[in-house]
Amino acid sequence: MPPSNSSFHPTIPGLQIAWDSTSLGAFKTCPRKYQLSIIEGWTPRRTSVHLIFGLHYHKALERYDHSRSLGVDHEQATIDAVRQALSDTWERPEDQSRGGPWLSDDQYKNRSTLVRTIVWYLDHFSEDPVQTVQLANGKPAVELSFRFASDFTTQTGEPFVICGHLDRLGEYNGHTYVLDRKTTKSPISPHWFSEFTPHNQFSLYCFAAKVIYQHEVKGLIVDGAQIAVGFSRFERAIIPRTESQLEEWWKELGMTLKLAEYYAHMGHWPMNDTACGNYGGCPFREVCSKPPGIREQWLNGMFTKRAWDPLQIRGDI
Amino acid sequence: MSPSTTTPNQEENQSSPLTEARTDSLNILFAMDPEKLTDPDIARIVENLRESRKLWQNKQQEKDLKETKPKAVKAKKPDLSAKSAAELLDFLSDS
Repeated sequence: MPPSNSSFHPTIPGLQIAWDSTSLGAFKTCPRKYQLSIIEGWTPRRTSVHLIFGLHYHKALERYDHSRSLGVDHEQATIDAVRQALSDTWERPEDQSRGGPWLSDDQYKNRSTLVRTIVWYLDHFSEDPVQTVQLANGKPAVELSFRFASDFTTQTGEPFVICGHLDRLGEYNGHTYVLDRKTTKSPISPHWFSEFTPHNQFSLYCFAAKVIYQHEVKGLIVDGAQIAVGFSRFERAIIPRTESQLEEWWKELGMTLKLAEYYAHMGHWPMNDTACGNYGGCPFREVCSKPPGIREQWLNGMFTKRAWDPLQIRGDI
Repeated sequence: MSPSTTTPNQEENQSSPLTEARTDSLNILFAMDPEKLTDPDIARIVENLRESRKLWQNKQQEKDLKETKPKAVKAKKPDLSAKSAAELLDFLSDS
């Protein structure tokens, strides 16, 4: 029985109504991966260090953006960001005992490289030429959660909802961009940035920024952070998105949602067996490699359950 | 003991003794419950990390300079092979 989830149709099992880039990305990669991770909510017992590091990194920098938007100076906002990271990476047991720091066995992504990367990043971009956009309501465009009803509907007429979370909208050279931050262990090269076009998450962000904030968005500005053992290095690049590229992405989204509805009605999400080796291998590969009758046992042994509800949680990093 | 493995950018990834010394001085603050850390404590962490960034940047600059410095053209070594020595002797005895 899947955990309860407000993003799904109340009566048609497996029909997702509210979509974020994580669920859409999982569905596009492999419908079976989507079934297991999003619909049924299976997640590896041990969370990936990249996911943990990325979430803490985003949250700390979000704290910096937030402090700055309130008029706090760079020095104090940096302290706020570091405090956020140190607190978030301090694990407190339920028995109220002292607890201890998050222990990562990864030599690249751990608590000390996290704090170092935050401080170095904020100093690297302390004279940022990108100015935060001021929204029509006078507020700075930071920490933006969005949701909007699309013009795509289910067979029974409910509109599909698109939702997610943007870090910041910025203005550079008179144009508006969505700002995002990514981390990697590899050296950052033009090839690394080229992987963001095409890119499901970023196209969704650009489209959403246009729809919600009524800004003509030229694309994204991506700040890449290379995390090494002894240093963190940063590179920035503009990832353009033209009007026609976004229109194409949107049109294909409608087709993807129709396909998702079809699979939900069939109660079957087929494997894309050409994607099992992508990005270091799918976490469900071992399960899918077993005969169908014993997969549930493997899932129970290797995974735990949590509800992926885009209307409740922030998942994109 | 298993043989050590190498990564493509292993040299860059190894921390210098200076960086390690700075990391040691941060350990006490890092091990403290964050709720007990004051703003000046965190400012010390920030300052320490900024210093380690400067050290790394200086090291990078030195490395970049070394890499861009044109190498001196080596003078051709005299050919002292047995064959050329014999030719030289022949030349001298003829003249």
